[in-house]
Amino acid sequence: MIMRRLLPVIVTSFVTLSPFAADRAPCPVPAALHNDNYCDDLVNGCDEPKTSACSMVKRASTFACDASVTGEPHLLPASRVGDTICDCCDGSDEAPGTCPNTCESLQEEYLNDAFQWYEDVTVGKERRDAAMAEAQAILGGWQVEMNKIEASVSAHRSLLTKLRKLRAIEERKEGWENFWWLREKRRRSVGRTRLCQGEREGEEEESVAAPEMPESETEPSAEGEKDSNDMDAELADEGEDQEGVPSEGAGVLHRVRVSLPALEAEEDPLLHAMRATIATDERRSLSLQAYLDSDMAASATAQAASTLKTALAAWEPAEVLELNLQALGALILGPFYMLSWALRLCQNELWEALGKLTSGDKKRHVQQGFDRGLEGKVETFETALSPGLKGKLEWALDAITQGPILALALARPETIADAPERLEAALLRFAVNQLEGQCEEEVGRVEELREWMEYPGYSAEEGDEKVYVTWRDTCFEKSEKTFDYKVCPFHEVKQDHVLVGRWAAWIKREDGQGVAEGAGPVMFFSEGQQCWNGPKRSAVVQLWCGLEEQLVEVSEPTVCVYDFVLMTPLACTEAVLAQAEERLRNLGIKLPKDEPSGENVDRIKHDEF
Amino acid sequence: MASMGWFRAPFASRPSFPKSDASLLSSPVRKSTSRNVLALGRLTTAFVMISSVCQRTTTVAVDRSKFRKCADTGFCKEFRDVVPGALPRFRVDAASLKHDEHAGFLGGQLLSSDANAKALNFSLQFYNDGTSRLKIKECDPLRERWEPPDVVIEESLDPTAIRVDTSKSDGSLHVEFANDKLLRVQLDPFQVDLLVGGVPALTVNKGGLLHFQAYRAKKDKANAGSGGEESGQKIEEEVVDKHGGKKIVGYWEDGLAIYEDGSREEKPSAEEEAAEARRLQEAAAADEDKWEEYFGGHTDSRPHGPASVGIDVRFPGAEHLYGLPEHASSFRLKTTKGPNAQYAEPFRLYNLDVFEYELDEPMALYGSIPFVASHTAALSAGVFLFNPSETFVDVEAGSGHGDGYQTHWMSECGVLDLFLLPGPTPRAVAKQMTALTGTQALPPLFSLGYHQCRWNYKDEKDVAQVHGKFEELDFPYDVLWLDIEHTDGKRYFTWDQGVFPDPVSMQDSLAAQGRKMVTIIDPHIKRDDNFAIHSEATAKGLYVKDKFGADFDGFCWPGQSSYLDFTDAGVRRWWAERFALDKYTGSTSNLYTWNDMNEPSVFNGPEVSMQKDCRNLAGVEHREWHNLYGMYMQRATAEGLTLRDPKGLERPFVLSRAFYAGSQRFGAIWTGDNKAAWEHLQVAAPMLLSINLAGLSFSGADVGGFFQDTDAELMTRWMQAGAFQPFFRGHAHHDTKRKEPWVYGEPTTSRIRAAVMARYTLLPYWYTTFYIAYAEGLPVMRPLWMEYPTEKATFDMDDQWLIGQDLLVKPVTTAGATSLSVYFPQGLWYDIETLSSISGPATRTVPAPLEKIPVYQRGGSIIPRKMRLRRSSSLMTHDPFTLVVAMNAKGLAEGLVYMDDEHTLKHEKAGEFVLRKVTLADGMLRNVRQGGAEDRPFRNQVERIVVLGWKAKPKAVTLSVSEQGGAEKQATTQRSLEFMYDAKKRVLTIRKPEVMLDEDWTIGLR
Repeated sequence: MIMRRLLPVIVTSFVTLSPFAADRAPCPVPAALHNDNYCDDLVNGCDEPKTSACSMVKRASTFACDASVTGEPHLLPASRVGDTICDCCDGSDEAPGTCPNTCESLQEEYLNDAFQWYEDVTVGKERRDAAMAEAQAILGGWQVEMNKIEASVSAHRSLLTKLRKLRAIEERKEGWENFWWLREKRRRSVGRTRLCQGEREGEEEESVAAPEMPESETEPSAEGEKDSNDMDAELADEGEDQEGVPSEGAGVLHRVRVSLPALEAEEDPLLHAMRATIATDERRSLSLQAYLDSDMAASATAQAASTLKTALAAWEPAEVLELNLQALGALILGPFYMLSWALRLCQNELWEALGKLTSGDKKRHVQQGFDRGLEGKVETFETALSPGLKGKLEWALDAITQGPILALALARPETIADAPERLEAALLRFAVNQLEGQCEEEVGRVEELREWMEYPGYSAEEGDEKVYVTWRDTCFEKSEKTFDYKVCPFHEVKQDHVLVGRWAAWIKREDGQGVAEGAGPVMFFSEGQQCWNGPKRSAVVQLWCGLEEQLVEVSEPTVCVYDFVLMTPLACTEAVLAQAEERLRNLGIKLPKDEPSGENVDRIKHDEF
Repeated sequence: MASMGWFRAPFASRPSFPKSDASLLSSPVRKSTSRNVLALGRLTTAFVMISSVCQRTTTVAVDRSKFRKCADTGFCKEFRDVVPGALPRFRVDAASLKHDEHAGFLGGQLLSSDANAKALNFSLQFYNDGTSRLKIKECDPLRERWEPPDVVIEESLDPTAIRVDTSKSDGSLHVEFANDKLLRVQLDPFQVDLLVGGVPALTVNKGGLLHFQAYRAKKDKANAGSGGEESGQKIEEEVVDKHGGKKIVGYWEDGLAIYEDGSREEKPSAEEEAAEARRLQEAAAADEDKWEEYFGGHTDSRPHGPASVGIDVRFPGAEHLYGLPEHASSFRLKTTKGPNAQYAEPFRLYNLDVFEYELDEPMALYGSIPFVASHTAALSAGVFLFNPSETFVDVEAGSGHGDGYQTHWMSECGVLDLFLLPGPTPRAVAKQMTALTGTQALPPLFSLGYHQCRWNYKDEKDVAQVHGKFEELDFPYDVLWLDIEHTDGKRYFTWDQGVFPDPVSMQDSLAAQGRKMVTIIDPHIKRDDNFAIHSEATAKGLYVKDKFGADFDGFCWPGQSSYLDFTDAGVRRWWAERFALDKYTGSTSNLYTWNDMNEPSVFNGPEVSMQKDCRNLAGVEHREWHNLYGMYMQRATAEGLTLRDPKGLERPFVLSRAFYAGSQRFGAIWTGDNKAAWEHLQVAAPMLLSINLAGLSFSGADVGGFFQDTDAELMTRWMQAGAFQPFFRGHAHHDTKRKEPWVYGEPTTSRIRAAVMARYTLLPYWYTTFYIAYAEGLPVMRPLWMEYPTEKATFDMDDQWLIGQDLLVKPVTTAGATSLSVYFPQGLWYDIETLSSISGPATRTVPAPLEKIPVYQRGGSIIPRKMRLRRSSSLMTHDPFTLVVAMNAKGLAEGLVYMDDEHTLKHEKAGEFVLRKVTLADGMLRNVRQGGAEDRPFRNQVERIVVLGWKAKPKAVTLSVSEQGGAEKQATTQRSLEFMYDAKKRVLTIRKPEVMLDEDWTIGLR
């Protein structure tokens, strides 16, 4: 199917032509002066429809050829009359004897063309009707899917609320556990320092040693971790067992294993998550289902209170003071960490600049700080950034109860990095993450479906009934001399890997294009990649009625503005068909639908010739 | 661990901007972490800010550093600011004086006050039209100075008899010639004064700035020439380092290199340039003889050393000077010297391809005409320094009122050949100027229509669509243009077969409606052995040579290119033959030519041109003929187009960018690569007025502006202005949006169409005006003071002009204007649209909504028009005329109508033309033959006569046509004519007189 070609008889018409007197006031010039090759009406040029005399007036008169092959008057701008060029097939626009009469052959060509076109459009229209049915099916399918997901979302949401509460409780417990663990660890290491350094420094040593950790801690390595303390040793073999995960700086999260049961078809992902088991080692493992079933969940709140109490009771005043001093230090150090974050953001320029300012050792230290133990920091920032009053209140609660620990973690990531994870907390974190992901995916899908179903763009014009929804996942491709083009409706247009434009909207056809038969709507894609020294690329995709769906032409009329021609039966609308029928009727052909007998068009055509 | 995901994503990508943008979009950000997306958004913002700081900023403007200033140029630096009296004085050696009164000649020797300086020969030649010529050369030159033989048309200059009076006691001799002209030659110090009717018009060397650097032998260095070359090479080698070892694969029009990896040379920073300049200056300082010159990384070996010439010319009493095209400056010359100088630099004349030129500058542009005219209410005069080498001109106001203006001319080499044009009227000056280098060739009529151009119409389909759109809109145009991309790899005379497989059919389909096509043919020939033009030019040795004698090899659009020596008549002949229809494959007789880049533009040359020490085939250095190169090329091309016709009678049409005095003989020029900005629309008028005044009438500016996008209002106004400028072409750079007349939609398309239609209705008048330019040497586009020399208000005016004598044009050239102020000179003026009249001298504010073009017909004129729209001008050939008779206050009017076949040289070679004169006096409108053939091949009817300013309804209008021969009234037929009278507008319209324009008749109005 080639692009609709228009016969020369139509091309020569001036777009604003209208038969004289169709839209104009009566001609004030006496009839005797009409067509005397002198323009008397210099405003509307009404008196010279048969000559070129009024061609220069603003609303030039039009000339009608004596003969026409289309069944409609063949109109010419007055400028074409008597200019030695034969525009009318019978030569009536030129002096007698100037032009050969070409009406007969042209008539035949035109009639054949009209028939062919009518047949093509009829088939195209049928294909369009089929596509419309398909479109309705797609829309219906979306509705079903949406209903289903909406039902499951509400169930997931209520469970999620519950799990979040439990997670908060378990995390607080975990915080205190970590603190105890840290306290214990420091006691031991301080004790060992004393042992190593002998009695010379005595009691003063403790306060000095506290902020700066022993060598083995600042340069954490596999060996350092192993020999650092018993608590670590207890888990050391687990850490090494992790496949492909380096134990150095990987943090305790890696010591928690998650095992997921195989997902069966049709299974609710929620069930799947519930059955997931989380384990610290062979001895201790827990599934969410088990946790929720046991009274652990029920008693979690009470336990939290008692843990806090126990913890506070166990504290020594000196420790509280030290802890607060450390927290204060962390607050002071915090901004510098923020700065180093910023450095990471523009690392190629600014990081190098910092590298020039700092000595090699410090630089490495800063670098290492980022390479490990970051999860805690990230969580903190994330929480602080999360919107909503509730989120901020939760964060505030955490800040009060766990603030010192988090602050310490921020200031000295290496000290807290190895603290063991509380199994229940890890389990709930995992479960909440899973569920949140699940929920958001579901909500996203619902939103997406709703957007699609309500999207008006699937109808380009009235009567389309969203037929273009059938193109949602379709792309049309065309290879030109040097480039491969890809047009994905409602998505994007690409030239090889260059983005030519993203879907913007349906636009109106430019002036004059509407004259052509079979012209469909026009897609516009904008905001493509910027041209070198030029504008952002954009594309216009003109739809034309045709039997096959095919990208037939690509051009770049202006630099970086692409023009595509896409043939498709979807553009073979009722109006196009009516136009094709009208053309035949103008030629005096009776169409099957016009005749009660339902005679075949082919037969009429046959009879005509 | 989604947190890791968002944390890593921005880090993973480098912050070089376009890349990071893409990778951010493509990074696997999961929808499930909406909080992270939020954070990511913030990070991205920070990211954008940081990286935009890291990016370099670029500006769009001319790269001034690339072009020489006076201080960078040895001869200008040495002689511009010379203190009065510091130069050696010249005196006439009375013993050497000789003269020939009959032949109009006077000559002798000039002796310098510098005892070591050689004597100079001076000669004065006097011509019939009052022009006198002062020529100064060395007496006994080391080597002969080059003078182009064919720019000033010597054979058409008509020497006049003179009377020499040597009896004066004031140490001077007087030459009386051409009625009231007197040339006073003061012997010591040498000074020449021209008096017209006793009034001083021009004074030469009053400032004592005459200098003449005689050729001298190079000191002590035995191998002087090769020494220069070595050091030159050294410097050029060092310069290569600035490309950081990257391989250069080409250069762009801005003169910066394009590398193999696709990157482009960065503009050097100010410090780098300063360092470079210092280095070069040191190198130059080492050269005591000033034998070589260095600029912008290039060395000019200057094998013959400095040889500049200079002189001062005073215009006593004049305050208004004009001329020195081409500069993007006001029509009236601004001052470049003296306490209140408006420019710091002198006007420079050196044809250059200036990328993105700026306005209000004395910088050199594409063309040069060393011509200055002065004008006062009493007297006009002019000078033309016939020297095609690089020339600087200083303009300085005299110290007191009425002191006049002084100009100081400095040329790099050649002889001092100064023409003094005595006027005394502006028209006389214009005629005297064109008498020297030729008048405007009469263009084929089609070339006065609208031209549609773009870089580039991509393929045959694109051409068909653009053409089709004109057809569809019933929009007249005559020529569709193809820029460089139509060729096969910028090999001119070829077609890109992929996109133009059938150029003949394409041209034929345009020609079927009377349209033409123009293709571009540039002077740089791609150095490709498989390209016939190149291999033949190489084999025949037709290229300009570099200083080593090899074919010059420079970069331009096709990459490595060589340049034909168009200064050589043999090369021009060879070139002309390339246009034969059987040699230029795919050409037809409806194809015409555009010569661009012919300054010549060389992307990697000094100042984007050719090294001055290149040589033509005759061994003459490029510096000598630089400003002529473009004209010689246009000439060769025009000759080629004429040769295509077996009878050699078809008129050529060639558009050139470079020009010199005399280019008017070979075609049209345009003002080069302007910009879509209101200021560029405004500057087009002063530039064109200046070019027209210097004799080159067929000139225009790219309508709509070449660079950058044009909005609807600017395009409308530019089309309106362009329709009333001699050469009318819409053009656009390939990086711009389409600018064809319809892209702005309605109502803009209709407004633009109306402007173009106005042009077409006036084509008979344009054609007649061009004929007058051809026949009489008067410019087509004239300043008001040329016709109203005593109206001082017009002396500074360059935003309104006259077409010929009878149409006053003042287009709107500012954004958002709805009215504008128009100056109307003495007399009555009729709005050509509303027909209402205004009486001058007066300044009036007239309404100027977007559809209005303020154009007025002079009371006292008769303008021929053709009021029928056609697709193209050639389809109007047989259309009837409308005569618009605009009466002056005395009820008189007259006008000329020129007619010929509109496309051949038969008007010139066989006298096949007719010039009719129509006059209205005493209620009688008479049409008589003023010139041309007596038989009447032009059978166009007069369909309408409109008389403007007719005071009362006539009782009858009677036509009398004299029969065959028409010498006597014995056999006349009389007929009364229909007419209409509009008492309110005082417009009498005679309906269908049914007479031919080319026959004698009289119409009586009673």
